[in-house]
Amino acid sequence: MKRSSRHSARAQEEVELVERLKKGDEAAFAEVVRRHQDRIFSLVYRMVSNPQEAEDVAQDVFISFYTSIESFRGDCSLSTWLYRIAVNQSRNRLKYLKIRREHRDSSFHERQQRGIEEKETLAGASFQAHVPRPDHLAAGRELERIVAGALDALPPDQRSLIVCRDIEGLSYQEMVEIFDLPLGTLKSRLHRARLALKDEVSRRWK
Amino acid sequence: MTHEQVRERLSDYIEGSLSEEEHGLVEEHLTTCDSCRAELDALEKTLSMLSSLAPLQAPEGFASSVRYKMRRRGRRQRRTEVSHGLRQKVPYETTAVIMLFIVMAIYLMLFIFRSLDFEFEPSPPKEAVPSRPQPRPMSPGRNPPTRGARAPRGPLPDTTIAPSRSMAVERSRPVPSR
Repeated sequence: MKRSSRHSARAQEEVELVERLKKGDEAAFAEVVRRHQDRIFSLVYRMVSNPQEAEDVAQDVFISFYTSIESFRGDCSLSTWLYRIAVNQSRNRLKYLKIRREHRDSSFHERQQRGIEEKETLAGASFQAHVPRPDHLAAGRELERIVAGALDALPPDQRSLIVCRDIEGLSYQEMVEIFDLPLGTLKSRLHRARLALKDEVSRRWK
Repeated sequence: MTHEQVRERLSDYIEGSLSEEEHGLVEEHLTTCDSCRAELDALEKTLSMLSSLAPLQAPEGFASSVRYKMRRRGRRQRRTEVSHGLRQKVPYETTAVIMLFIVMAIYLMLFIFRSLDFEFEPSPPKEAVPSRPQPRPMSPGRNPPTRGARAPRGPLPDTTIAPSRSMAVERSRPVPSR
């Protein structure tokens, strides 16, 4: 009973927030950014594996959200809608980055080396705040490096499924709305993505 | 259950979303099949790695960066909309007609001013203007004017066109002595 009343209060609050957003209230927009910035940044970062790109894409996500708020009909929650935009923009950026990388002159070896160094630095940075002990830090870095490398090896569609479900912990209901897929299809694609990731992790672990 | 059937259900088995009957069948297979057991262990380890990743936070000043970027884009978009809107509202044909009217108006104004004997500087007739400026006879003891120096004022050449009244008044004024 208590739970349902809290849920309806939150839904009512969200409706009011959307109304304010549709009127162009900047304070309402600031509120949305404040509430969701960490989760959106986290999702985008796990997708693109680069802090600058992640920040840029996450900013674009909020701007797209604000500029398209008129088309929000309230079929899903605001956070789900934001996730949908984030997933689509991350996928597009990955495709763009892939094309750009292919056109670069630098050799394959140099690129790989740079990527590994960059990920090591990032992994360390992201873990520093949460894992203060040196042995944990080293373990965290290694873990991040392996997972980031394995995720990078997956196609964007598979990566987005794993990031949403297994890293960000979204529910299947939310994922059905984000990816616009039937539950069965979604689950079977997620399973295939997990198996592919498992193979990549096993390969890197050795 | 075959190996393939079991491996297809490993994710659901880990998440506990299989029916009771299917769960039993998979478990039974796993107790006897080492390769499927190994597959399950590897998958569980991968998922636990993913869930143990640290949550990330947006960089400092993220919200203000979003606002700044949005304003910058808004200005750019407004500029584009204005130029696009103008182009849509005023098509090329209309612009051409307006330009034609402006040219005609200027021509008409010039014509009216001329007919009203407006104060324009009359150009001297061709036969009255000497082809080359005649050098003034120099008085003894005076240096010739240097280049760029102002020529001394002499009598105006005769013109065949009668000067306008205002010019006549101007000329009749006494030249102030220096």
